[in-house]
Amino acid sequence: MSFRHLRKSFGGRKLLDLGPFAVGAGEAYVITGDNGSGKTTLLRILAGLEPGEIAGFEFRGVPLIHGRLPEDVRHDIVYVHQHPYLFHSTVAHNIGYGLAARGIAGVERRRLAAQAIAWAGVDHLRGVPPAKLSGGEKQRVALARAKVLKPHLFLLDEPTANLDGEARAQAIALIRQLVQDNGSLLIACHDRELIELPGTRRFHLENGKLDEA
Amino acid sequence: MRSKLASFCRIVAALGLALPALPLAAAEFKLAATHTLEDSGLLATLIPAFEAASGVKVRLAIGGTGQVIRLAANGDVDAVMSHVKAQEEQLVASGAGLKRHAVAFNDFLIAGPPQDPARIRGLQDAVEVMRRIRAAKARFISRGDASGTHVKERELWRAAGLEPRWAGYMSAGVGMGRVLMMAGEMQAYTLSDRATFAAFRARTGLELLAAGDARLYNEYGVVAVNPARFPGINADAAARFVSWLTSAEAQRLIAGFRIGGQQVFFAPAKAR
Amino acid sequence: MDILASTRQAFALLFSGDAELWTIIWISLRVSLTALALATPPAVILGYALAQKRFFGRRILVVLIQGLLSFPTVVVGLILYILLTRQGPLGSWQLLFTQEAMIMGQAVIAFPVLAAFALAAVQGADPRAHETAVSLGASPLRAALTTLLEVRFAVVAGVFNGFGRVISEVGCAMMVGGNIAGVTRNIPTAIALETSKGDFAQGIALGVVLMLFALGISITLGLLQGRGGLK
Repeated sequence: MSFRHLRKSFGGRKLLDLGPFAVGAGEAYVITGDNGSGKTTLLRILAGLEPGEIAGFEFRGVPLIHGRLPEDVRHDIVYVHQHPYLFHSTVAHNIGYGLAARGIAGVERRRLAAQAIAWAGVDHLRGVPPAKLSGGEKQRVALARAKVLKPHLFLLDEPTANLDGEARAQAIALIRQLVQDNGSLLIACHDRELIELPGTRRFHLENGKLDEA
Repeated sequence: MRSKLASFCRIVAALGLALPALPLAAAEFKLAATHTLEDSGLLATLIPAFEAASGVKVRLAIGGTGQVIRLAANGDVDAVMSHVKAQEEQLVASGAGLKRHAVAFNDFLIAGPPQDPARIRGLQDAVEVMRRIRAAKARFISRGDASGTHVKERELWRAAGLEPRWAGYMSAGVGMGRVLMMAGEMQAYTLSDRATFAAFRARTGLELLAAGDARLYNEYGVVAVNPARFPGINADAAARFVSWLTSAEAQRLIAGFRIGGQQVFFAPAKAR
Repeated sequence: MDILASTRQAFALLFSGDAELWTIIWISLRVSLTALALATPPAVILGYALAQKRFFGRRILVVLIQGLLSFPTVVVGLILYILLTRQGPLGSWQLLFTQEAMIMGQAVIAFPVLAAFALAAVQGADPRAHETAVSLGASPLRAALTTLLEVRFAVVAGVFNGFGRVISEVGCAMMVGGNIAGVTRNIPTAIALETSKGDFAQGIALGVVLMLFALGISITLGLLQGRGGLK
């Protein structure tokens, strides 16, 4: 994924004004920056959830028009909210949701979902209504829900914010595995342990500019 | 504080004493009358004339005969006008009503679509009319509301020895005017009093197809409610209304009432 | 009138399975449920679109729907009557005084209620629900269905409110239905008729049924609100 320019203004104030940037296959980038520096906005624009001005936008060598991403490209990028939203159904349905959207049929879908559930260590939560899960459990379900889709790019927004102790350690362990599995990741975060995750490059967002630290 | 409370009590007491003395009952007279009297427009002629002559303000309650008789039997009104003689006499016999007076008469007729699918045009025998409508399985709209017209219709079915039950027979449960409108819409037959039919003829496109049978005679009566049974009623106004309605002046108004240049109510013969 | 005797008679009617009484109840349910089944899909689609999309005339439509919430049902009846009467533009359909006419009227009466509830439901939905669906690769249609499913209790609450409005509606039903026994006589028009006949037992019996419906609706809505709050 790469772009030449990315600009975003809010009411005349320029929030983002980025120069050339690229995330190569199998690369993991961590973006740090103060609250309000635009980390979340950047991820949301790349996920197509928010309008923004992008020039020279390409994904796996294919030029794109922002806001009109073809389906296969949309299926290759998954954004995970800072506070993930789980549908009011079951853990298994949540994890299988993206597979169903890709037309993957019942048996295969259940097999893949079961793998992802085991991967995230949420087997014991199968019967629990998603609304009753803790923050850490929700984050793990959301990571499994994204991973099962094998996207070419993960966009993770502050995946460990508001988590501590065991829950935080479990989330970091899952993200470390994503990095080790040669996934492409863009992670917005404050978490020192995540920032220093081996195999990642660090960028800092300040005054609308992105610089490698 | 004390004096305020005292004056408040005095006001309440004064109001309490004054209330029964207020002329609540004197000005208003509650009359129940049937749909046909209202829908034909006769009441709109009679009521203002009575109000002008007596100074009494009339409150009207309109319903089918079944309902208006019930209102009188419950003492909810001061007098009742309807057109089922048997029920009016029953009201008097029960002690709820004072005396029945004949007020006006006209007749019922069978109205229907100009195409006349049951071929009843020009028939005089009302029972034969009902038989033909039933035999042709033509559409027929019944008042179905226990009104005087409905009572008359059931009499005719009984006389014909028929049970009014087939796909085209519809029991509407609304007033005469509404039933005529529905019959016009659905191109159906119906039994109507002459006066309401005359008032609705132009709007419905229905035609007078059969009339003239003695069984179709339709007499309107008035009964004042018995103040001995219901002390709260306005007996004075009711008595004045009954005597006015049977007076030469009111009878002239009834006989002179016209719809489309046609006389639709007649003053009752002395013998009745 | 003896209220006690009428009431005793009313319950006797209800429990003896009086055919006429149950026909009236059946017609009421049939007409109202059909009207809701017809009105709900387009109303929910409109409510969803008004909540989720920005298009020309959107604000006018929102104001219009809110205004129609308190639209007098007799005016709906009047307009429908004028359209369906023999001389009217739709006179050739011959629908006046049929169940179809009543269904049309009730669908029109229920529509703004259903649309307003769907609109409020989707507006009240967590914006992340739709974003999550989109981000996981859902098509616009699937994302819309997912969002509506997430707020299903609020949408269903709208259906129950709509049902409450049409099941007890008398003005329009009387005007375009005509209160024909066994065909277009539903609970409210029958109550109006029984009262005018001075026969209170059946009126009371039907009134009891109507109140049971109302009670059922408010209990269901209470339960739905409980579920809706469980996020």
